[in-house]
Amino acid sequence: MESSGWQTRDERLVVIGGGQAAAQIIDEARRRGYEGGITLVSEEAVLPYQRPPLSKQYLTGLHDQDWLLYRHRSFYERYAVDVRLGRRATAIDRAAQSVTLDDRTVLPYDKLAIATGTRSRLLDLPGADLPNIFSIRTLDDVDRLRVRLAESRSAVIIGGGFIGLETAAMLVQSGLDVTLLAASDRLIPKLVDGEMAGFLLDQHLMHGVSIVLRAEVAELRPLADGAVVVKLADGRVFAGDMVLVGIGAIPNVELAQAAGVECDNGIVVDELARTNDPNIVAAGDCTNHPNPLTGKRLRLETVHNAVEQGRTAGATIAGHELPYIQSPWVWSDQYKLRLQSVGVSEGYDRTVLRGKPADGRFSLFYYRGEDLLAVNCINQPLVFGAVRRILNERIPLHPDEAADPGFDLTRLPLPTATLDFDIPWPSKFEKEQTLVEWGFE
Amino acid sequence: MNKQLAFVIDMKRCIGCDTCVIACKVENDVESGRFRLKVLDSNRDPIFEKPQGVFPNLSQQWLPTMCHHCVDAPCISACPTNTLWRRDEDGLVMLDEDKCIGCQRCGEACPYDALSFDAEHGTADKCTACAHRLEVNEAPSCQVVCPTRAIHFGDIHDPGSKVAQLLATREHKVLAESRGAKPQIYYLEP
Repeated sequence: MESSGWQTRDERLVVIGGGQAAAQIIDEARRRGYEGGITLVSEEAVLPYQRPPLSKQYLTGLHDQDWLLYRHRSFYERYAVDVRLGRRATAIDRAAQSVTLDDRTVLPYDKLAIATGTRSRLLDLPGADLPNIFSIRTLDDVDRLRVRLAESRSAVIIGGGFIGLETAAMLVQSGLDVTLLAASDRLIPKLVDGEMAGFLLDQHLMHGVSIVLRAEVAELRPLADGAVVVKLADGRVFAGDMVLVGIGAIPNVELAQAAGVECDNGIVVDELARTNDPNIVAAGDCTNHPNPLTGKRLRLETVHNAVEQGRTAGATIAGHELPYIQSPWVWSDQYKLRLQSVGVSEGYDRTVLRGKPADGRFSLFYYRGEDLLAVNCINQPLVFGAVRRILNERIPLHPDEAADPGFDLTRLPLPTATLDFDIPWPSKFEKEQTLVEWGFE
Repeated sequence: MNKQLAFVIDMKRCIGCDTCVIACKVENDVESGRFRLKVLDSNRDPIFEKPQGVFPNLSQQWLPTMCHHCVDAPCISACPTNTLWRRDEDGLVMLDEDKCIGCQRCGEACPYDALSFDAEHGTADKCTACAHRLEVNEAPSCQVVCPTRAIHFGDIHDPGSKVAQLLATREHKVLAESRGAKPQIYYLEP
């Protein structure tokens, strides 16, 4: 695929979205031979990029925008993609099969892919619209935040999830006084057990982050020089030169919903990323999809979901079937710790520890009876990699084996690549036989 | 036409001496237990070499294998962080360790088992065709040390190159062609 020999069929795919799912849909559709024209519509002014570094390396200016791009410019040229950046899709007309943009352009489509992602949940409190209150979702958010960060000495972070913790780690390491306010009685309550939450809490305290649990924010008030005071319902106050809000995200489903595409906590799709309209697929953070491995319907805000469901949607567009059946996983970098988590722990009745938290390398296995549901790993990438595949392949792992650091998880019967020629070379002996038969010897 | 660098490996010449394996490890500082390059025998086992056939009609083939620098590399499409990417100017598949989050999806997606995992740093690792040597006009270390001159490397789109000439004149195959990755290690008939 050296050049753009594409767009040979009179057919058009429109992709709405500016994240990894959008780029992945295009990638997979072209790889699988989709030959129609492709238009990418993104509200943002940059090509689809990776969001995870926004609360990590990009926050403190370690890397530039180009570093974040999920696919480089040449990718869109090679695949002959008509890229419309800084344009918002305002309406989908399913009967006429067209998308209207905010500049009134009407784009007809044969296939439509919706990857509109999520937007940050905002505080609905007095003072929430003051200057110097930031959330982290887009490059634009972080570019504005960085201007203020340069002149800030303290920050208050509202939210004890991944965004809050990653930002706390980055900011405290750049020398700011950081206070983190979490609504729950522990950190990342949705994802990790108390033992893991306690370990993370200790790490942040050790690095100098002040953490307030069970903090119910009541009001925000301005101070001199643009600083902000956060007042809790119990009357305690915390001041910072800037406030960062990381209290979750809301799926962007309004466009789909208005067009009559079925939505229920996200755009409802099946294992092949198809919506209730046969010409529309959806992928990424904005979808509510079935997960056959857990028997649950999930809406995930993870890179893995964007990338893998994006592939499924791209394959569907190209007329192939690539069911999305994988255990969800996520990672987070904080200080020198890499937390990797795979599976859905909901409904667990016990946890099994492998390794020692004091060594800074351990894993926590979540079980329901003898069924492994999920694992959180701290600095144990090999355990994570093996368990991810164990869960995907539904290989049983007894809790005693999980707990034993001497038990090599990679020795379980995981599928491996077979390195062979499709048609083997004839062996030397067979060649000589042929020569004898033909009378050449 | 863009450059397309590729390995051409002459199975008639390879004697399974593993010199390339050692050179690769030394050049790229690959620790014990991990490989960027392996030499497999007829049974695809890198260590216990067992000939094919029944005595006295025995035969043996060796298969040096590393990253196949596929044109449609499945590792790139599986990588969630753009750690793996294909270099436009010469077609090599590159790996940026600083972007790797250690998910090991690439290892799972690769049809050629070409990615290993550096547990110490928590990142994937693979053959780069000695890109750091190419920059200073040196050949990949495996090619340089091969005592039987079984490993060739160059631009297959340049008709004057040795690799293009070998492909034009000798029967050749790629591994697992049906997987559709368009691999860029060509094996000449044994």
